[in-house]
Amino acid sequence: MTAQWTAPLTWQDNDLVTAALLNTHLRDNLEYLKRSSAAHFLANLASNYSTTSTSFVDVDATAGNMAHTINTVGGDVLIGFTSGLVSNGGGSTYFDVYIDPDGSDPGGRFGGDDGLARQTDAYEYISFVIVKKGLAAGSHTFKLQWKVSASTGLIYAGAGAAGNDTHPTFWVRELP
Amino acid sequence: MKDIVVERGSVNIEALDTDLRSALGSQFVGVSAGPFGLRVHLADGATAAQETQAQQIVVAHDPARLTPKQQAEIDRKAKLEQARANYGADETDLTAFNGQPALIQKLAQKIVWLEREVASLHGRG
Repeated sequence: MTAQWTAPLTWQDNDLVTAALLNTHLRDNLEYLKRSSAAHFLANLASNYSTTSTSFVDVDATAGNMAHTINTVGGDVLIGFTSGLVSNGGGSTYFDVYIDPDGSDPGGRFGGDDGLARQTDAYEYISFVIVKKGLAAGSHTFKLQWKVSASTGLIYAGAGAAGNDTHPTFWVRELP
Repeated sequence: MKDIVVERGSVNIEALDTDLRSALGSQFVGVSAGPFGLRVHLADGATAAQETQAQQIVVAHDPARLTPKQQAEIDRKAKLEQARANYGADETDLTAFNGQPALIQKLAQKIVWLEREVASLHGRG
């Protein structure tokens, strides 16, 4: 069972310390503080990712791949993406993170028209870490998205030829 | 946006994009491939007939057929390889230009200099 937070008692002289109080105010609160939801994907796949989409689309909406759903207790969530090798021979590739809307948050992408990060050279390393502030307690889904200005964007994901066998990672972690 | 998911093996994504863009115009947003298979991204305004047309194009797609741009890139690389084979083995011999007008000799010296710069850039100098 997930530990719940209880405002700690202010103890007074001669208070009776019971097992129930210790469990509630010490055990449960410590468990609550230690817990944090997290999800992580280190891709080592039989095929790379590619897109020609000129609007932001999911890189891979498969749960547990480039899309993570975690249950939070409410607060901030750290989100990260690293790709050792991204290419686009004829244009730029743009990356962003999309949060599904829920009852407490309108959701949507973090970045502007061109997202959070842009690949401009033919071959490039892309990495970013961002914080989503103040999410309400509950289930939240985070998806990596991308688009191109032209040509084909490519994330090498373990299926590259020798020299291109890099493994991208996408992760989310609730901050304590 | 509407996504059409199609199960199929290898694709030439640039050629498929060219075919879909040509057939569907502004209703076509792009195509994505990965371990999940293939997704065709269409605008919200795409009709059912256009969705069917997109599926038919994907099914009929021949990954071996190259776009003009891809063919031009292959031709360019082949020409470069041929030029390397014809001229790349030895540096230009300046003594062959002895007795030529000064302007021609200067040009030959510049070519040798450029040969050395290119070799250096390729890590061969």
